[in-house]
Order: sequence, then structure tokens, then C-alpha cells
Amino acid sequence: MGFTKAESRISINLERLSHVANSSLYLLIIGFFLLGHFVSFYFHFGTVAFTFLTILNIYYLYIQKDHALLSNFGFLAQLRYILESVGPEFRQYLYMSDTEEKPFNRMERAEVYRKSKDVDSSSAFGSLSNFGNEEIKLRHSMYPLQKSEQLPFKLTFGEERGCENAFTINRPFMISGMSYGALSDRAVRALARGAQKAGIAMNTGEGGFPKHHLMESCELIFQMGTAKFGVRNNDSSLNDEKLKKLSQHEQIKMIEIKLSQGAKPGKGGLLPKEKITEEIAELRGVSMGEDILSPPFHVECTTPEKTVQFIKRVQDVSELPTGIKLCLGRPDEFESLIRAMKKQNIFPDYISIDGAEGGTGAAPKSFMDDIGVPIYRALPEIQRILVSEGVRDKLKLVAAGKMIDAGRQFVALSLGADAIYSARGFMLAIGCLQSLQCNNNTCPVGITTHDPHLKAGLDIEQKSQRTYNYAVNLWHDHEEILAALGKRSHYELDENNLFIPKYF
Amino acid sequence: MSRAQLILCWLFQITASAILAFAGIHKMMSADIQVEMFTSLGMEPTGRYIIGTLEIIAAFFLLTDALSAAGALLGLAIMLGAIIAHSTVLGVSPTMLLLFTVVICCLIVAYIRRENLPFVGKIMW
Repeated sequence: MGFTKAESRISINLERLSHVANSSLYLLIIGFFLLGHFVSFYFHFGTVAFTFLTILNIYYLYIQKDHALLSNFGFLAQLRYILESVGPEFRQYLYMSDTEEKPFNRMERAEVYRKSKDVDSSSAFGSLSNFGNEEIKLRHSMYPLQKSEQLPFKLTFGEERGCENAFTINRPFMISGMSYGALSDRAVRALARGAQKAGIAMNTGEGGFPKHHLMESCELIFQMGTAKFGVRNNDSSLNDEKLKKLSQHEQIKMIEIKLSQGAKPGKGGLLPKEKITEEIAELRGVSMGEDILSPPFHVECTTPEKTVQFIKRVQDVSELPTGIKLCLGRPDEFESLIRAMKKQNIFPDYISIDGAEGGTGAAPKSFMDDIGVPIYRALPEIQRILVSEGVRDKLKLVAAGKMIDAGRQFVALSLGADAIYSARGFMLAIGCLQSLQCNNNTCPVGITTHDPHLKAGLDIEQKSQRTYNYAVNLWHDHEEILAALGKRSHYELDENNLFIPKYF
Repeated sequence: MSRAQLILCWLFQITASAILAFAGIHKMMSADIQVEMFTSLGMEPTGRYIIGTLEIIAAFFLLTDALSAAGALLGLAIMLGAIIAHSTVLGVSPTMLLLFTVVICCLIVAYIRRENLPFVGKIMW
């Protein structure tokens, strides 16, 4: 062994530290035993503790094969797993900056919390956003209007085809689809009650018969997923009778056919039999004791022509305004769908565009991250296709995808949307902390869990007030921004209201 | 865990718990034999109360579903201390029969419920 020159630098070598720790355990047992024997029996507390630690360490080093780190370094390597397991909390509480977290950073969430708690939301010193030629901004007018000069917001779905039960909304935003199942019953009721107070519509999500949504008296949009829970036959095809019966509910104002979802476009789903309780089986119209497969597409919709006919069928059976929801994939496919509509002169009453950034209770990571077109790219594309086909005035456009604040909503409205869907904005309003556990039944605030202990903390009345406050303050922002843009109504918004950075 | 295993496990839990509770309560009530033992260990009375408390905690843990693995581990730790005491100071006595009963029961419980063992199973707390 060659001698190297001694250096007076001190560094910690974790590998050697763990080896020293592993071998010193044996010495510690002997040491404590001797102390216990000759000095005081109390030292045997140490003997016992270190004996157990040594046995555990022998298990880590020589017996278990699952973790190479524990095999190589012994008990000190557990520190890695322990620290890693509390990492998400530490990052969220302490280390992550206000603008860093995803999908919603602390700044964005705090704004929703302030709105929902109805507290002052002014900020000081300056914006924390980027101004580095990458964010879309709104262009204000040199001649702002008074708020009193504004026209009331009014959007009627189904007016184009003279639908008898046309549905009018008075606010440009709605609560997007969240089913009972994804959400707890209490969360659903808090949202529904708040929606009713604020006078906004709420989508039921694809969870079957909306029993819990119907317990409050808000206006509902029934969503029909590819498995058509609540209105299905056993082969996932539509049961006209059930749809007809459901549509006759006073509160159900529109039907939405979900073709695809931003968070998992082109993906079906599986409802495992373990999750099918008696209540779920009844609401969704499925049998207990077997897994239920949601196909990735509607069995009726295999070609553009058949899709259009299916839309017509739902419109006829339900006698309600009927829309479709999709995440844009290939524009040429969308174009051929629009052409098929034109050819048969049948149009959905609205198209809801879900951006790839849209939320979900559970989806494979690769689908969430890598599939689908984001909303700011999809909207202009769809607007362009609709205008060039000359059918823009045949239907309404609704945009969704992280639309939690008025700024983002105005960008979407300026890009062609007529109204906005937001789900996670309203989840944050009723107390979501973004702990990212929606798929684990462990939601700490009782929103996406069915654990009775966890959902007990969610007070329906109190959280419905938060929903109401959020909607009211969001609308307040809308009025203010509209005035600053010099517009009298949301219809006047167009792309010229946007500063879209381009590389120069 | 099968139903048979569960019933077996509970039998061992109850046995170990009963012995631990009996010993713990006797220590807390300053039974003559216990005072005598702890005097010869040089731990009277503080050590007697500490061990008594630990025994009662272990007995209680062994009667729960979630904490029985931890209770078995604690029981084993106390018994290891008792074995040291008997082999170095107190000498062999018939009470050691109870002691080994607890050791065997706790080992079986810890094995059957190894999924829930702290530091070995999946969760720490």
C-alpha cells in the first residue's frame, strides 16, 4: 500500500461510515453487556436495544434481497428511505419555491384559497411570474370601460338547432366532470351545494346515476363515458330507456358524451371488482363480483358518420342539449368528424375541448405526460377548422385544462372558447392541498377518499360556502379584466386581446 | 393471512399478553417477589416501574390488530432483558418457564405478522 500525502480536508465518506457503524454494533453489545454486568443493570437496556438492532442489521445485510442499498450498507441506508418518504411533504412545506410546484404552484393555489376564503388577494412589490418571452399575456385597452357598461353574461346551449330544452348559463365557467367514486359523497355535495348558491352548472362525471349530485339542487350536465355508466347495456352500449328516464330529471340540463379525456386520451379504464360496492354497482348499472372494463372508445362511434349518428341519437332520446368532450389528437380526424356533421347537418350543441394538461383521479403516467394536445394549441386549431368549414356558429366551444384563474380562462376565451370548465380549481376551493393521492383512497382532506375517518373532516355546508366564494370572486375578476380589456361582453374577445410571444 | 393463521395468532397474542400483563401488574403493585428480584438487580424501585410499564404497554399492544407485531417485538425485548437478568444475577428459577412461553408466543406472532413489523415490514409507523 502506497502512502499518500496527508491532507487536512475533512469530508464524510458515507460508505465507510456505514461500514464502521455496522461493525461497531457488535462492540456496542459487548460494551453495554459489560457495563450492565459490572456497573449497573440499567446498562442492559442498551444491551437489549443494540442486540435487536444487530439482528435487524444482519437481516438487512445478509438475508433480504429486495434492496441492494440495505444489503450493501446496512441499517444506516434506511435513512435514505425514511427521508425519501417524507420528501414530498418537506418539499411542499419548506423547500419548493412559490412558482415551482406542478401541476399548480403555491402561488396559483394560494390565489384560489384566498378567493374561496373571500380574503383580500392583493399582492405586493411585483409579479412572481416570468416575463421572459414565454408566457401569454392579455392586452388591455387604452380605453377601459366602466363595469356598469358591461352586458350580463348569457350563453345558451342548444339554441342553434332550436332545442326545446335549451340551457342557458349566466357565468362563463362551470364545474367540470368529477364523479362520485372519484370524489367522496361529501365533496360532491359540497361542490353541488356551492354551485347551486353561485348559480353555476356542474358536470356529474362518468360515475353513473348522479345520486349524490342530485341531493343538492344545482343544475347538472350528465357525462356519459365510454362505459356509459348509469345508462348502459352490459356490452357498454347505450340503453335508450335508461337515458330517457335519466334525462327527465328536472336538474339534468345537458348530456355530455365523453369521447376522450385530456389526462388519458385514447385510454379506457378498469373498475376492479374490489371497488364495486353495492352502491357503486347500483349507480353505475354494473354487476358485482366481476371487473368492469371501460373501452377506450364508444362502441357506437367507430367512424365519423357513426359518431355523428350517435350524437343525434342521444339528442333525440334525451331531448336535451348534447355536447361532446374530447382532447384533440389528430386535426385531420377532427376535420373529418366536422365534415361528417356538415354532411348530415347534425351538430352537437357544444364541443368541450380538454387540454392534455387536464386532471384525472388516476391515469398511467405516460398518458398524462405525453399524449394529447395542450389546450392553448388545441383551441386555435379547432377554431380554425370550425371557421374554415363554416360551422363555428352551429355550436359552442368549452375549454378545459388547468383553468383555475381568470387570466388563463381569458386566454382560452380569447382563443375561441365560449365557456370554461374547471374541476381542480373547485377542488382547491374546497380544501385540496395537492397531495397527489387521489388514486390511493388516502386523500388527507376527504375529497378523493371513501375512508370514513378522512371524509369526516369535510364539512359540506362550510365547503359549499368556499365553492360559492370562489365562483363569486372568480366572476369579480372576470368583470374587472373585461373592463380593463375595454370589452362589454365575453363575446367580443378574440385573439387580438392576446400577447402571444413569438421568437424574434 | 388465512383464517386459521389468524385464529392461531390471536391465541398466541392472548397468551403472551396475559403473562406480560400479570407480570407487569405485579411489578406495579410492588409484589414481594418482584421487589426482591429488583433489589438484587440494583434497580429498585425505578427499574421495576419502568419494566412494569413496558410490560403493560406490550400486553396492550398484543391485544390490538395494528400494533400486535410491535407488541411482540417489545415483549421479546423485555424478555431478552429478563434472560440476561436470570443468567447473570438471579439464577435459574421456575418463573423462567413463563418467560420462555412469552418468547415463543412473541416469536410466532412476529413471524405471522411480519408484514407489520416496524423496520422490516412496509411501514415504519
